[in-house]
Amino acid sequence: MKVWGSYLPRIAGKPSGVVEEVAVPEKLYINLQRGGLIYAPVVKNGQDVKFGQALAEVQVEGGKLSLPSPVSGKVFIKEKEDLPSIIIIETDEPKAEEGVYDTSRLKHISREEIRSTLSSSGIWPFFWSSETGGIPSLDDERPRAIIVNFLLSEPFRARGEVILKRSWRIIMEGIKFLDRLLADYGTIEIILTAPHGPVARTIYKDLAGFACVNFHPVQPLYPVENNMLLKRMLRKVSSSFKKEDNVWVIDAQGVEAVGACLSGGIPLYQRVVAVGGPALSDPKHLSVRIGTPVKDLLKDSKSGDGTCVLRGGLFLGNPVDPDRDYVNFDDDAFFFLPEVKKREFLSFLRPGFNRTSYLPAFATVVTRGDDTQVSTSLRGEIRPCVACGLCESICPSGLLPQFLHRYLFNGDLDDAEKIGLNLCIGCNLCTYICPSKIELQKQFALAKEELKAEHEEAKAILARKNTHD
Amino acid sequence: MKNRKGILDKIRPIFEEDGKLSFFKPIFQALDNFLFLSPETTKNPPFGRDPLDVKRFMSLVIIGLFPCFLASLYFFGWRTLLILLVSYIAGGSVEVLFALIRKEEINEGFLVTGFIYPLILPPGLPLWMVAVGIIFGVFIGKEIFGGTGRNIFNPALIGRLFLALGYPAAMTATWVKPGWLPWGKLLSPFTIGTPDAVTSATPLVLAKVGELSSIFNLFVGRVTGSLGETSAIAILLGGIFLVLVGVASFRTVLAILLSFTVFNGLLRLAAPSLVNPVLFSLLSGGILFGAFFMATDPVSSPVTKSGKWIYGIIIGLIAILIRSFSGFVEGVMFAILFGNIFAPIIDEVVIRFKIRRYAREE
Repeated sequence: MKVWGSYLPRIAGKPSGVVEEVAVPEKLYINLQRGGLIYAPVVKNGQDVKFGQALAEVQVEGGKLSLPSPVSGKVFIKEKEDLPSIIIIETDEPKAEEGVYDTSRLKHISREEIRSTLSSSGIWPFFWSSETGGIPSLDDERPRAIIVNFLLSEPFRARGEVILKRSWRIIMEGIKFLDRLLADYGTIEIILTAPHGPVARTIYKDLAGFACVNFHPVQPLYPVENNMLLKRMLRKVSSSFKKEDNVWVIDAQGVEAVGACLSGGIPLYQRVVAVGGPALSDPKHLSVRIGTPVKDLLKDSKSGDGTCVLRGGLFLGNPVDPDRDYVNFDDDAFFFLPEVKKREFLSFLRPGFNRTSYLPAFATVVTRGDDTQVSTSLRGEIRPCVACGLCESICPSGLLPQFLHRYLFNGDLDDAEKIGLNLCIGCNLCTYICPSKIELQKQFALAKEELKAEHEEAKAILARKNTHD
Repeated sequence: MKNRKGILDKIRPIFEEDGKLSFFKPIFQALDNFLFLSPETTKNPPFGRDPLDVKRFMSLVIIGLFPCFLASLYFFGWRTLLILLVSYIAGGSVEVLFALIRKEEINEGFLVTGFIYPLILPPGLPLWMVAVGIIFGVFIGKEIFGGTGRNIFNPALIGRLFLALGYPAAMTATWVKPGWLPWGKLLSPFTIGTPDAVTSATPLVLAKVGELSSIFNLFVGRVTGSLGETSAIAILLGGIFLVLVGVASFRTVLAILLSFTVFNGLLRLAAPSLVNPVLFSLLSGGILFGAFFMATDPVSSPVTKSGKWIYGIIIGLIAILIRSFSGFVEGVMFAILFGNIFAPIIDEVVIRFKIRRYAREE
């Protein structure tokens, strides 16, 4: 399968395939906001909780989602005025994690039971549904296909191959359970780099007889992991997929959690996070308990002063405060970006042995070097659009960002909508490469919101009119 | 390096909002930004950015133009340098003046316009005309449209067009014979006035009377013609560099050269007496220089990828039509300006097609 445009810069600080265990800290901090939902605590201050016990819940369509406790211990609730509260757990003596769900009836587990187990173990939000554009509803929603994506290309998110190597058996179990959530004749679509390699062959062998599995080769270029893009690609390779078909997407760690939960009875309690970036001396993967403070991830590796820590990868990550932020249920990466200190002299005339660009305009084209200079610097002055067309050639949706910018700059929202503003997947690539350093993504996101509001208003007016008639 | 930056930091307050020289802030800023990387940091995701900026982009064009500049020094002597200086000073003043009035930053785009413009002028042109042309080009061709990024036409070509229409005699009869000796004209004295040995016979003029210059001379550049456009080999060196680093669109270049070659070949079959042979046509006049350096100006060419193909085909066709069937011996300048006129509508058509595809996907 091919993606339009797309790009993967060679950034210094790629995490190695090693996965190190981080010791469980004395205190864990559970953020009660997850994926845009705010969970309400169901435990009391000072209460003892067991591993896997629900800490907080939220009602959604067709059921409720819970956040399970990643350890046994004592709970404290810290109220915050404007922000969702945080649950602090003082951990007991660490014990080996054991199953908390009854796994004896596995062979006969019904679809409803799978759903309720996954939603009470904190795993359900790992699914993305094209019908809802987010978490699938807990009603009887059944997808035409589930895409299992082993590629997270954004620098640097936890790599699927690392997860796969670490917990092969559990992932295979997980995929077998996914099959039971599908609609009749539904398929499992697996996204890998090499569809005919030994990995794919072994997966095929392990799953034979359990599920209808298809493999799709994809070049590991950012942003192949985007859910909407994956669905669009599926439609391109197989004409049997219709626009309105419901497709779910789940990544390697999600399937791993599904497998661990349904075959071993273990709720979601840890994450593999990739720590990488030019500011880190020893980039690698870490296996961490959910709720661990971000600063604990850095204990063994040095990162210089003046480092900006991004939650997520380079393209989509947002800065966090390492002292006051914690590993959340959905985290799989922290990017360590150096903060810019001094202004480089005649920087545009340098050959560029230590910087890489989308255009082959630096010496790294020949030396194949990495970009060690990426930092919080804008790396240039803000200029008017010079119509270089780089954004068009990089856009994975095949849009014309330069025209979207022109129309929105002139306040022409209608024309922007016509040329596909809503197809923008928000991957940030155009903003990353723009030589004029224009904040394209910000402009597009604001415009999309405005457009949505306009449409809702129009709908409301129409509805009112209809009731009058 | 500390000292260099120290001085700038010391005088910075004078140019700030309520400093004594705040009116001249754009000039200070231009110097500051030229010497040191912008201190601006990212405020929105992605928090790291690509190292390519407009300055780098424009300096690559200058590097690409350098072989042509060196060839023109070699063949036409040190007067080239003088013309370049006049172009930079006269055109730069207009650019700076507008930046001061608009209270905007000075844009790097002019560095390219000011470098390209001398290379499309006859070597013997009086210096005041050089100045008049670039002032007109920057003022009418760029600034009144709103500055960098908003112009419809290539400002350097507007400057040349003004001269061609306003001073047709000077523009057609101030060609200079190139240096023949191994050291070219590098040893000849520096002339401020119009050189003595001026002629009106460029290879294209000679071809009209049936005298074809040798292909070798055309390839090396040992013929009369505009400063930077005689040497095919220098143009190819710089031009291919620009295409390789991705600054010049290979689509535009390829489309122009292919369409020019094909239509030239077809027309020659139809009217051999009026149309020059293909190889001669390609190497003479401004077609190569135009294709690599003038038509690829991103601002005045279509923005869409497919639009660039159509744009190139139009330019190639019009160039050969003007050359063969009009009173002008050279038509590349008009052809590119024509292409500039069509650029917005070409984009419009491409977008129409794209909208249909988007509708299917949404």
